[in-house]
Amino acid sequence: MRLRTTAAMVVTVALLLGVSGCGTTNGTDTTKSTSTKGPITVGSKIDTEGGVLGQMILAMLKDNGFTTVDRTKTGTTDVVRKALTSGEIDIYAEYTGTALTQFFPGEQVASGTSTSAQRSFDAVKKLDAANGIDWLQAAPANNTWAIAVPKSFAQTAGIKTLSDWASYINKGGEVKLVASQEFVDRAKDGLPAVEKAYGFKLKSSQLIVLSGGDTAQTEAAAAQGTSGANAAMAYGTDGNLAALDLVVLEDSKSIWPVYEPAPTIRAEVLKKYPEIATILDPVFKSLTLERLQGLNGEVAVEGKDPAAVAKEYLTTNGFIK
Amino acid sequence: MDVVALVGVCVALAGAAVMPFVELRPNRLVPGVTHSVLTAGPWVVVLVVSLLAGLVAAVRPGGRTHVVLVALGAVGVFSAVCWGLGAASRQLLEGQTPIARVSVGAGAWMMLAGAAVLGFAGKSGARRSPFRVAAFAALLGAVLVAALKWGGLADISLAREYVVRSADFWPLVGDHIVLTMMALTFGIVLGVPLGLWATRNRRVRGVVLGVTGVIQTVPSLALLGLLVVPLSALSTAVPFLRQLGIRGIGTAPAVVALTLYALLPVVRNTYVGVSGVDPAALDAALGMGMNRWQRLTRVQLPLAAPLVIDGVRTAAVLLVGITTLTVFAGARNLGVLIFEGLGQFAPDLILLGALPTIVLAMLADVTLSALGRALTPKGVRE
Repeated sequence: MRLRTTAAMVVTVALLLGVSGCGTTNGTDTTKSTSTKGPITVGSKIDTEGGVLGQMILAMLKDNGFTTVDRTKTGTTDVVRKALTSGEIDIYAEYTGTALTQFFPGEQVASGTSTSAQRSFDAVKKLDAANGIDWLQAAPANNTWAIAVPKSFAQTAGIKTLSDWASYINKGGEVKLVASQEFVDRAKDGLPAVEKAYGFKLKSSQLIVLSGGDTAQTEAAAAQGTSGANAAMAYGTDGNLAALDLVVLEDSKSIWPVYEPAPTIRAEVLKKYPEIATILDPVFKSLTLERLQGLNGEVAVEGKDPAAVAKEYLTTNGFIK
Repeated sequence: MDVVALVGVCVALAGAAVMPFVELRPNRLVPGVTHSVLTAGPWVVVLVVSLLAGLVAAVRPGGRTHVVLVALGAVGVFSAVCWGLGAASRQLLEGQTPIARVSVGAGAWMMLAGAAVLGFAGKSGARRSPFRVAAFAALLGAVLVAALKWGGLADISLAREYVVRSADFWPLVGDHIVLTMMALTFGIVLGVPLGLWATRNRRVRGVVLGVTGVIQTVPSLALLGLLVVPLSALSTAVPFLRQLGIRGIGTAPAVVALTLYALLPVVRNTYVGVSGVDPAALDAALGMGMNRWQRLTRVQLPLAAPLVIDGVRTAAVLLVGITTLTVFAGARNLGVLIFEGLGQFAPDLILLGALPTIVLAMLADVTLSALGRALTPKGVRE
């Protein structure tokens, strides 16, 4: 072969192998600290709130002398949970309700457990101990399902609670709910459960079903009246609600499970560094619904960096210097 | 009549005249009020002059003036848009809350598209000297950087999203490139031999082409999901693999899935290229006393090279796009920005992930075309 062709070939192969050989640096943002505590790999869910909580855990551990590895925004619930159980990450914030309904679906729990914050927490703590995962203090912020409607609509129709909404629907009022497929299908805690508890039934023409579970999209649709939507599936701590001028309808009958975020940590890591509990507990205890909504809002609406938002919260409230 | 230049001018004109130039939004989530290109202020003059230059070039094709006018037109429209967006955002954001955003409107994108088409008109006219192309690209780059630094383009919503994610952004670009290249390498290493094997044996051809074809039809997300479980089982069973970094989530399932997708273009093009070699050439080689290996390396592969490289190029562009989906298997790349933007319903964050992906795909295409030309033996190139 000609020299030029050979030379080009050598360059190509070198380029391919060289770049591939660099390997991937999957989020190895390691911080060095003077102490030899750690390294603790911190993961999180991929949504806004997950990012904020993950950064808070990171900041608190770093400030208390731990070497940390930042692997926040690890992935969806399945991915990040698998990462924890397989030891790829050491800690991430999970919801009590999610654990109860997704990780232990077959477990027989006493009725009324899932709708009580304390009892659902105790139940998952006990159940997950068998998996070698420990649950630390949960935040008193119920990030459960909710129905949100535009503020103007709520005011004109005089609707404040889900019971008001149900009677509005039964009287023939115009309604179009945007929700995820999951919400519409789940008989135990989805739309069917709401309909059963509050005594109404939505026709398929009154529903817009999206295949993904995204409350950002459903809320945007209801706020803008896309395709006639005037109600949206939402989560309790969503940061967009105020910005989009939506109000959450009160769940007067408490039908939904409680979803409170708590740090879940591998038991062997906690055993090695039991002080992690004392470091994180007061922070999570301070995160009320309003505070978490505000933090989510800063990231989602104002577009701020979750790390900056977390740091500001921790400094303002005296958790870190 | 240079039709390409004319189309470029018309698209840019339509964008400027009919479509909104920018959109002023109260925050990054909600839509807002659109404004026309007049908010660009003095840059409208530059736009008009550039469009006129392009129009003149379109009706007087050929010759040196044509190339110059087309280049001026393209650069002029591009500059007008970049600097005009900066001027518009500066003007509109005055007196607004700090979270208000100015987004690029459909009209501005159309003008950029028109400028690109106009630039292509020049490409066919001029001699394809790499220096000229590089100089042109450098000029456009300089205009963009200047607009960002001094023209106020940094106030545009897209730029503000970048600023928030700047620490993350370049590592994500790097990871994206690495993932694509790893999969491309494996795809070539596996695909070329498979393609060669398919040329020998009729049954093998059927199986190989059939299987790679079927793999291509499997939806990417499904394939990723199917890979996670066996890979994590494998990595738990064989600890050595974990040490290498092969786990159920992350890079491993991503690279495996991407390699599988790269196979079809590479295998098929290798097969078509090698089997399509002129039998007379093979005969001559046989007559010269070459053995099988010599026939392969000295006759078949060089003659098939253009098609094989074309297959690699197709695979590369395909892979750059599919890599964004591997986020669902826990891999990190530009897809992270796209899906976060989708999750937050923030269109500018989606663009922050999508635009670099498009640029990477175009770079892959251009680089591999050039590489292909260099690797094709001179005799074959004619």
